Amino acid sequence: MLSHFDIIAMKDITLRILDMECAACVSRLDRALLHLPGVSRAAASYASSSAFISFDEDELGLGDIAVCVKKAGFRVPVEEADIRFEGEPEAAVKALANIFGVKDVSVHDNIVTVFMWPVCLDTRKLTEACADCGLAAEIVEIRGGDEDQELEKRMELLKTLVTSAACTAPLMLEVHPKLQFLIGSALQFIPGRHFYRSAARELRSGFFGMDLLVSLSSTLIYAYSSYVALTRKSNFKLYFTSDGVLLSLILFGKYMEQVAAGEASSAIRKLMRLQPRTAMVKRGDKFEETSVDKIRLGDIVLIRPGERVPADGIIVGGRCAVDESMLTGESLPVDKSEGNKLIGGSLNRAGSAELQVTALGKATVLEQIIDIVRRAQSEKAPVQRFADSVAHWFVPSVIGAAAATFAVWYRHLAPKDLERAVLNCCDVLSVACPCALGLATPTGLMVGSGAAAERGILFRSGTELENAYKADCVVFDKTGTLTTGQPELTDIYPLPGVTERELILLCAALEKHSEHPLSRAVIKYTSEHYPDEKPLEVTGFAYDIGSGISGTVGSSRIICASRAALERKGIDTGALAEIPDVRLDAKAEICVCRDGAVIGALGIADTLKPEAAEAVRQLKESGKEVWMLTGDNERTARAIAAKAGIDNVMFEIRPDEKAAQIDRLKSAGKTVCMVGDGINDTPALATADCAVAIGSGSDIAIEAAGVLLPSGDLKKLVEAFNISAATIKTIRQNLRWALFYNIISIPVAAMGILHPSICAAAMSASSIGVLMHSLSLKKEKKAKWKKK
Amino acid sequence: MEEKIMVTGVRGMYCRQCPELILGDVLQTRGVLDASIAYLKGVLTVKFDPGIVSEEELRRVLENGGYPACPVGAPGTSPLLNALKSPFIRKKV
Repeated sequence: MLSHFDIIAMKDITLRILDMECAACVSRLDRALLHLPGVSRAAASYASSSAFISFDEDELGLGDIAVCVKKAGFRVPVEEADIRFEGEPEAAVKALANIFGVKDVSVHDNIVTVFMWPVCLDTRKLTEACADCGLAAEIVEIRGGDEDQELEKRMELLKTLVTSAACTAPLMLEVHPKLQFLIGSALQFIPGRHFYRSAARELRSGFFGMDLLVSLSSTLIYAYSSYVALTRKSNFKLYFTSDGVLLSLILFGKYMEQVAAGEASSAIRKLMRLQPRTAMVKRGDKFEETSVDKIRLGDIVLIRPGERVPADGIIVGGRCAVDESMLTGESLPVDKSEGNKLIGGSLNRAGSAELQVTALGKATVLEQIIDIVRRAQSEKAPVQRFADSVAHWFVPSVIGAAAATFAVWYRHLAPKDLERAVLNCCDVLSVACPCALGLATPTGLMVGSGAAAERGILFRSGTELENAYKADCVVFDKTGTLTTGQPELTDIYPLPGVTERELILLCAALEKHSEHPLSRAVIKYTSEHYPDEKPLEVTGFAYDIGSGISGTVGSSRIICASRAALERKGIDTGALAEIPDVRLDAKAEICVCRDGAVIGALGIADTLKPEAAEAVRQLKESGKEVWMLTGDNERTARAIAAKAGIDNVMFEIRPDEKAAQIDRLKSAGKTVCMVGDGINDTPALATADCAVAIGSGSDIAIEAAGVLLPSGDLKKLVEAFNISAATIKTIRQNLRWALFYNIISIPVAAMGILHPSICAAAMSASSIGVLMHSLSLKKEKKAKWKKK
Repeated sequence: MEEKIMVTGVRGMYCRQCPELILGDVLQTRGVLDASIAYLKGVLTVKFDPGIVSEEELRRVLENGGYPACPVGAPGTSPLLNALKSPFIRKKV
């Protein structure tokens, strides 16, 4: 602990920190910070999303603090400033890097990018530093910590909404007109500012949107009400309440949209948890536990059993068995040895390996997946663009109708009656509901994609969500898509002179000591078929990953390995020609060898996923044609297809021919959905109208796929189609309702029958109703899409 | 390479961020294969390799993180009740 005399040397900062949401988070962070040697005071606040920290600059740097915050589970957003310059930047770069708060400086062409910790660094300091070095510089762009601007936006919106509601509530009490005017003004220019800013932005891009309508409507109501409140007698009606109700309800709708978007990001959060925080990095001769942030390209990292891989890389030593199921859906650990690639986020189940880092941070496969899912939230789907285009002429028409209403009433129907004319004009403006277009459509898509993400279905964009159900033909790649990652022992072929029982028990005796998952298949089979047999004693057990297992049973030396491994050991495998080659059935083969002679082989199959048949049945029931695509020979292909219930089989298709097959189907007039997982599916996925990557495959497959099913569960595919259909159905219903509602209500409003409050209420009810309808997608259990 | 599953109640959760922190800690522990939280019930399910990490160690991780393990359904596991009882009710304005 530091004494008071050290206070003079303390540096005080207010560090912006994301992800704090409650008191528990705050105390946790405080504790973590205070534990850091060098920190004398730490006080985090969730209301302001920051922490006040007092620390000794000599002992601690901002980087260390950031690492501590990250370890506690929160995030420190990094801000970036682009500075354009003329001249030689070297001296300036050095000067910039020395400024307190600067994390990093990089130069590209004539732009210097300064990465800053969020300690409220004054950007003028940056330009001053450049000027001091004689470099003419100007700041071009500032980006405040990329990721969670969503959260900031949401908080901003919530604050606006609550302010609006807080202003509206007292207005409902029908207080004194002047007081109403004050509250109404507060309402109009504080939360109401949101709409003015938004409308201005819309106009600048030449677009007439909902916010413009809302701004106009609320401004008119406000202006009229103010006029009445300040000049007329007190028995004239004021409409500040209507204004408040209007704004509040619209803001509420916008907030709900954001909440729906937040639900969708839980998938992202799950992916982000796969990134480890520390790793054993080689420094000199030893491996030291280091924060993942400090790892550099080319560093050697030790991956021990049970650890997650911290970054993408290539193995340069050792061997391990890695579970990449979070990314590929294959829970069967894959043997990796020197020269093989490892994906950051995958889990090492057995063995130790040294990894040379080839990709960090945003360049890793995991981050790319996260990026895709995020981007899917921000793209506009066709139906949304359609909605926008309707809104484009809808809003000006409504404004025109409102103006006409005013003119007609003021001039002809109730001459010189300002109140009536204004009221009816406001009626028209406030009853018109473009919200179905502005609100329900994006909400429908958000909720749809959110509901999908919750179920482990990731649509890359709103467009994909919209188009998925349109496919009338589904093509499955066989390996890894229709088949599982769970191996099962399916074949036992002892050579003449050996019994099945003998073969199995010898193999099982060894496999019992092995960590390899293929062993599990053998053990499972043995315990099912020979439950009463006691396992044979093994001495001298040895496990070479990739070279099989060996040991001594009784007096014999037993080896269980692949054919190739045995050959490498110099053992003659010619006798195996007498028995069926299970490898032709795309099965893994374990050859058992006793005292240098092969005695038989076992076949372990990658079997059909248990849900495959059911998924195929459901797809066929909904009117889709189901195909299977595989490189297998005809016999094997048809056998598997029959088990899955698939009648259409394309067999012996080479990887480079797959895309052509998809094309063939497309030119036959079908809308093709291709379901695959690996590198050899990429061209086919890219050719298909709808591309689904089961198990998230390799990064290339992810790029080509519009829909990702990381779990690998085939039934999710059916769900994906259902969600897509349900979403579009809901949105279409909303649009139809919007049309119907507006056509009826605008003329009615123009006739002056309705009171502005009722108009606002009707409009709000309409938009809330539409929103609720969109949200009901969350509860959507079954919405089967039947081909018309 | 074995797998074991541990189901335990977790005490002290309040907000939506708390399960994120717990899962973050647990998943970073060597030997943990998978973990999930039923937020409203306050129940944590951990799949781990007992050859690498023990249940004791997992409980210690939870304790150190500020969310001690306890029997399922024990008082203090429901985040909603925790939030209502605590003086720090979330204020967002």
